[in-house]
Amino acid sequence: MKRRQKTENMPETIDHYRRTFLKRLGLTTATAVSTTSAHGAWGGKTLGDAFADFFQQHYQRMTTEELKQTLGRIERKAQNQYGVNITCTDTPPLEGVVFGYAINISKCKGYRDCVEACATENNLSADIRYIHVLELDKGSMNLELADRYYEHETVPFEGKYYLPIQCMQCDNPPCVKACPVEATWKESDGIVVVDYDWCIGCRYCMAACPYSARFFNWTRPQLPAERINPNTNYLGNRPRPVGVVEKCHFCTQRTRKGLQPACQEACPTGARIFGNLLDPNSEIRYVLENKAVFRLKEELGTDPKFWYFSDR
Amino acid sequence: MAALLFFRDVLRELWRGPLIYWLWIFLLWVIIALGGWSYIGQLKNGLVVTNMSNQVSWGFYISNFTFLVGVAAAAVMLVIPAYIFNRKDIRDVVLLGDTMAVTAVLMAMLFVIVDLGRPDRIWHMIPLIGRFNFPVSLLAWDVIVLSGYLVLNLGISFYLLFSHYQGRQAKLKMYLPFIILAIFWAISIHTVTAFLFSANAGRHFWHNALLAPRFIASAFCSGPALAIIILQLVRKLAGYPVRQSAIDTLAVTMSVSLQITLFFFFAELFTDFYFEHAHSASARYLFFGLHGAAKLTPWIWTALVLLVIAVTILMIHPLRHKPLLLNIACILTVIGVWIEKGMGLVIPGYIPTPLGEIFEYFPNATEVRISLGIWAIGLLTFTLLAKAGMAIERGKLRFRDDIEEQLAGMSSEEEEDSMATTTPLRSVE
Amino acid sequence: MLRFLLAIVAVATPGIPVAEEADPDLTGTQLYPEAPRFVIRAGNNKTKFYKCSRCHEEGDTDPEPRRLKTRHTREIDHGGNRFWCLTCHDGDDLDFLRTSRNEKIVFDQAYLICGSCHADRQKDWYFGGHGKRISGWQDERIILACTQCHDPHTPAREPRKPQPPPPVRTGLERQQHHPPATSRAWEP
Repeated sequence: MKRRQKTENMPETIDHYRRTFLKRLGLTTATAVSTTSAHGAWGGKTLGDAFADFFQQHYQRMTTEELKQTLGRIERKAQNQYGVNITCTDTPPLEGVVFGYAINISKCKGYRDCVEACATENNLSADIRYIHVLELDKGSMNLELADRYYEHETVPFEGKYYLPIQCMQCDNPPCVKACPVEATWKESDGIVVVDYDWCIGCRYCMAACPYSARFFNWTRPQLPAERINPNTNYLGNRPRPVGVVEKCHFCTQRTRKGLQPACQEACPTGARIFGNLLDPNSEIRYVLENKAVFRLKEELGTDPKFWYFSDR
Repeated sequence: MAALLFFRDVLRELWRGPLIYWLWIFLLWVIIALGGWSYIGQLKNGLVVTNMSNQVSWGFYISNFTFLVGVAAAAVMLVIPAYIFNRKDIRDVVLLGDTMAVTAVLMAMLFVIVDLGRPDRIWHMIPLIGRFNFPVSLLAWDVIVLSGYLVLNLGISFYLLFSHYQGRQAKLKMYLPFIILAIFWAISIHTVTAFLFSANAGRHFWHNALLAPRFIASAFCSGPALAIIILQLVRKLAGYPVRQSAIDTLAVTMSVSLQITLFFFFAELFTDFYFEHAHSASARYLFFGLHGAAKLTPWIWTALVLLVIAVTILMIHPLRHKPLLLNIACILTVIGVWIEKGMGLVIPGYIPTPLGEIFEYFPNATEVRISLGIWAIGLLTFTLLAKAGMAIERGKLRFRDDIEEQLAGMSSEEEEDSMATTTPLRSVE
Repeated sequence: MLRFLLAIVAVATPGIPVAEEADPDLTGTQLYPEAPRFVIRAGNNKTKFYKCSRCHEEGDTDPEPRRLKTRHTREIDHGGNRFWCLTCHDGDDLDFLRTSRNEKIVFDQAYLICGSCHADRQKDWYFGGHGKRISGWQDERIILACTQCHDPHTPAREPRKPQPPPPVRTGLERQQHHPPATSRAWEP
């Protein structure tokens, strides 16, 4: 939280003027109005909330106080839209951590347990899945011949192998370069995050991503209230609005608290290895240093932090 | 004061016209209303009302956008002969070219806005207040160059028209630097738009160095083609003097540009198909279909045929000088480039996806309605701007010096009658 | 008394800590001293028929390798007909297992036997390149032992039904475009 304090202690910066400007433009009105109008207008929101929503700043520019109010608004919004009480926290990155992920493709059987666990954990809309599992013929890695809609009685299917694909959290992310409003960026722990309240929905990042890892909310997320995971965080699994882009974020609400990402926890074969690349004793480091690993589309220079390896 | 009267007189000019003018305006407003109604539905329900998907996340809107930025850039094809080569005949019509550019940029910006998932958050792009990822993001560059081009063209046109309105010659020293800037800026808007696509290393159909040259080459066919059609229309419908030499020059420009465009086209085809590899998959989808998916193949081959017919007409001197054939060539060029640079460029970049999936896209009725609405807005803007501009250029609108008498209460009808008889036709500068 | 002894052993022996009791005759556990420390989530002692000595008296076993079939022995589909029960089970005291070096170990230490053949996999397991971690990535490393995923009698995983295929965007239909069957260079 050091960064936030620094900003607060520098009253003469552009930040300060911008904040004052926006405050005068919107939030004063909002405060005045919100004290008088308790009941929801604007699709269930109070007028105050609606104003504050509109003028909400970028995550990296919010003070601690603004962030707290934002989190409160998100919780109220979820109550209005879904009738569910959620908690929304801010989970900043841990110091001395850069996350890496590896998948043992000789162990992945194509169960898709990871896909569903991710959907439940991250409050995914019914038509979005962050993880695609590609089914390929053994002997080739021609993605044009891959099938991600496979339906078999049992898996693994004869002669096929499986490649789960999700956001690679590239160290040189093309999506971050593409975004015209800096709504997506790489954090210090290596995770590429999205500020869903800043994204303007231009979908240029989706054009730029070489792994089809980003997804757009074409409609308001279809999230049945009973399936909502109430433990959310701002840069992660809080319910998203319509018209913004989202993607796998290595479960920031879990991993930044020391837990495994939902996909790793769900995998019954132990094919997923996750951990801190900066820790020389971590499992992920062991895999990277002792196994024949590869990354997808390495020639594009994206430097993904998602590896694949095989025992055989 | 003069400015206020300028706007008043312009508005008056726009408010009068023959029946056909009003029918045209009415028709455009009907189309705009239909498009607007569809857009409201899109705002309410989200972009789910379109046929775009996570696999093909840019579609008809961006296709039209790409085509229109090219048209806007091609105004430079009138500006260069008018000011650099001092062609008087083209100088007379250069304002119409500027108007075309302004309209095209406006339409392009509208297409981007309707494509946004959160247009209510556009202010996030404003530097300092929002966060503007300049100079890293190509979209940020595009916003700057398009806004700048709009301001530049509007500014130059307004200065020229306002000067003429006041019965004065515009000072060349004042605006020539901006003209020079506009020439380079015009090239830059379309180059940046091309870079928008070619910057994506993961989309092999777009990721080649030839894309920007192809864009410029095809823009310099479609822009002059539209200009030729427009110039003939204003000559016929509004009686505005347009010298045939201006049209001939534009036709020659078109001819050369179209030959270059087709050469680039074939260079692209060779590179993709001589030794087919994974990176050629999108080209195969576009031209021959891929694994049974072939929605775009009839379109691209039609475009190619149209362009070849057009270039044949344009390359053969006697044919190019026949108005009917020239107009056919222009229409074919516009359609051909619109297909080739619009859907024929944007959609195959997404098929197959980077993970090899084939998920086709074709615009649905909502997208077509909204797009037609924007085109209608563009045509309406052009009509109004051109009508006012031509009225000023012909001397119909003039600023009156005896402002005190006007204020003293002369009736506006008397004023108009006196204006019509006393002001001479503007002489060529 | 036994508990007290075992507690001392658990602290004193430089072996892999187990959440339950450890065998006092433990040897050879420090195969990879440089491996990061971990804890096994024990539980094999909770198998249905434990303790085996309730039915099987000491010295009761016929050491002749044969195919056995009683109400609780399984078909052995491991080792391609080279194994039988006493390959791993200690014939003298069926509450324990016996390694190939004739060490007596508890069921929770079965990994010592697995590693006699699957040495590479065992090394991976020690270091975390194989196996299932059930604690957080930052917490104390608690992992599953081999037999908690692989039934040592029939270790091969049965294929099972996958979860349903991914959806397409709301309002759009799945599209069926069929790539050709892969043909390899050696096929006609």
